[in-house]
Amino acid sequence: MLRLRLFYGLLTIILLLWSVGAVALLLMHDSVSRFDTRLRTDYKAIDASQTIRTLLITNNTHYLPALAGPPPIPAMDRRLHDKLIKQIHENYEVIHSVENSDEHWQGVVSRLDQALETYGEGYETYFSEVAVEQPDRERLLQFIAMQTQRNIDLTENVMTIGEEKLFSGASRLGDDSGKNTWFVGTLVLLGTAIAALVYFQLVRHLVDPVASLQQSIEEIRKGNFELTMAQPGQRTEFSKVIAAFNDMAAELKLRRGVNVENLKRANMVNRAILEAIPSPVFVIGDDTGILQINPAAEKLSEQLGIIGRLPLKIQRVFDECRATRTHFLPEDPREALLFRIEEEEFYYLPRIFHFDSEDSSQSGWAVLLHNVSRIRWLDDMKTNLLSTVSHEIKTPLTGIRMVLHLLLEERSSALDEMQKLMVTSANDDCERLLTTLNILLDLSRAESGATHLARVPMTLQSSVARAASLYASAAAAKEIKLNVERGADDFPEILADPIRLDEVINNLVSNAIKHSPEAGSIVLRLSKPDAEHLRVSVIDQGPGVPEASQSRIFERFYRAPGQKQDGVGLGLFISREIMRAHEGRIGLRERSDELTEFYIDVPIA
Amino acid sequence: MFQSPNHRDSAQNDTLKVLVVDDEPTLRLGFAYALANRSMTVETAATGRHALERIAVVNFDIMILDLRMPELDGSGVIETLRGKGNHLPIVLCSAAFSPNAALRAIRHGVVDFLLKPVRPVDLRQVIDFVMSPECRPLPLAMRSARAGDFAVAIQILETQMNPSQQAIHWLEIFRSVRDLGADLDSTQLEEKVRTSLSVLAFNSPTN
Repeated sequence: MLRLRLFYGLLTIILLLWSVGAVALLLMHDSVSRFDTRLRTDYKAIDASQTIRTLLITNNTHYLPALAGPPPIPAMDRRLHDKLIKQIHENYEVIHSVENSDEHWQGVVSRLDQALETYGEGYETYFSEVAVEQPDRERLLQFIAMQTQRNIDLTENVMTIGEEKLFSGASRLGDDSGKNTWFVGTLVLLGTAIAALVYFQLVRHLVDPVASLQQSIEEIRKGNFELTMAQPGQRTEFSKVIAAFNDMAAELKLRRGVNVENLKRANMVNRAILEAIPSPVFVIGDDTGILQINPAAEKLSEQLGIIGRLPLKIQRVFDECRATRTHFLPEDPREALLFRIEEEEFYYLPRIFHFDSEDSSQSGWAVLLHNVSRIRWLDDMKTNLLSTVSHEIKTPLTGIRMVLHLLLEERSSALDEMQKLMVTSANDDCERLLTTLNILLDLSRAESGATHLARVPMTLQSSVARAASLYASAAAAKEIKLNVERGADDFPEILADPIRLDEVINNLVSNAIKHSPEAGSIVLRLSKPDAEHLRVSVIDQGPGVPEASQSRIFERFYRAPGQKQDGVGLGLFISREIMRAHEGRIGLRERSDELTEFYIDVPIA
Repeated sequence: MFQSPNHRDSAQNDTLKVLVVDDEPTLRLGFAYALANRSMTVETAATGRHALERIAVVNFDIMILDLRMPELDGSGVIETLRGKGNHLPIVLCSAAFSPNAALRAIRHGVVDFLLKPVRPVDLRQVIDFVMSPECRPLPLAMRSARAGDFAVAIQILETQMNPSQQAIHWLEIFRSVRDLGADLDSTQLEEKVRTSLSVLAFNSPTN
């Protein structure tokens, strides 16, 4: 376990530190005490020698002048001498007691002993007062002086030897301390070595895994999920970390694998969808150029001789969309753009839409060119056909009708009953045929006319007022009251084609009159349902629209079942087309209070 | 200035000379039959060219002209005739008027349109309406327009009280034609004519 290793390693170092400190302390203590002992003994000998010399000189100074002086010799008190000699001997004993096996030292000490003995004998002679004569006295003086000198020399020797010994002891102590230094140094080196060992162990077991973990994380950050870390041999804290890390790497690898797989599949689906679309599709990044195009777009680009960009006409529309960030989703094939490819005319309806990724981090545009050439052709065909039909059928029919009318006028000759019946029947058929033709014409007008609006700023009130005045007489015929509720006076202007808008309101009013009961009332109400629209409601007291028909009344040719009123079911369809072209709405409100309310919402200018 | 129908050379004869131009034989027959009576003599022509030939020879009082015909169509006949300075009153007849054709006709003083199918009664009424207009604002305004005097026509219609739907539309169109001047190419006016076409015709279902 790593924690244990760390603990042992540090413990070793601490023990080593303690032992080195203890050894150093012990050694220091030892050398200090040894030096102290030596200093004490050696210095004692030197001190004693010095004392002896002083005592000798004191003794001589006191007594010898009497010898040198002229006779008679004064009687000298020997008590001082005895005291000094006693002290000298005491000091000698000190020197003698010094433990020293050195021969030279032994010799010097024994000679000092003899010399002191001799010196003492000399003074014994002095005090015995045998030398009273001048020559004897001189001889005695000389003798004592000589002995004194000898003693001094010997004490000098003792001092010298003592000093030498002192010095040699000091140098020995120096040697000892050198050994101690070496010993401590060795211990320190050992400690350093152990510390280094611990360091490397720690690096190997602590730092290396962390460093390699960091490296691996770096690799994974770069996207290399293949990597796994080696599992360390022993069970350490790191083995868990590394196992967890390897698990994580494996998981990431798996996830990425799934992501890549999903990405591939999504890409394949995208390609399949794009390729399956027969219309040219360009996918464009928000800031970049074209991201992807489908084979149809490739083919078109090739035919137009442009590569890597949108056709110029489309680009213009696209730029506008991009500037306003709005979709462009026209439905009318008339808004298609003409392209000439190999002498042939093609109409493409550009549908441009903006899309965001789910998290709104990415966005782009898709441009789909819907080939409406065939629709345009069919549309033209239909228009031509309708016009041809209206002429080719209507013209002969006109003749027939004219003849039938003339016959029914009976101007030249009267018809008999049967003839009249037949001609009337033929005339009815003729009228029905004409009605059908007119419906067809109306229908073509609704489908083509609603897209061609001449929109101008206008007030909705004016339109309502025109409708009210137009239908005043028709309403009066059924004794219906036509009430206009103008609402607020400050309604904003709208942008609309007055003629087409009138058509819608007229249609609603006409329907209301048709379905109103006799002597009922119709309300034309202006209101503002939201910030962007103005509303005209046409409210009548009629029976309303049957539930089942409500969703279908705006379909072409739809007529609610059981209607007695005439009509072919195009009025509301045409109205819806017109409102759609105005980007407005037309609708039927839920019936309440026995009232039927149709409304139109027109965008405010 | 234009000839006034009331001061014609043939007025003394007390019979109106009517030219019916239509490529449909049945219609020619029917129109002729419907109109023929003691006060009217009817001649027919099957083509525009034939009509022009007959007009050059006979002094007609009024012409019922089909718009759609092979070779020279109604518009062509009107323009050729007006180009020659002939201001014969013309009733233009068609199953469907294109805004462009209607506008061209109006600019040449042809303001009477008959929408096919035509009932015999419509035919007789339109001739009465043109030849002897009642003393009401719309017929009088139409007479001025026929004479190319749109300013007067507008004036008459503007002073009218409670104008009919038809009168309102005609006023709009006369104003537009007046304001447009010589500039022939106005899609906006065409648009206006187109939306009013159903109302403009003499026998319009709304009247």
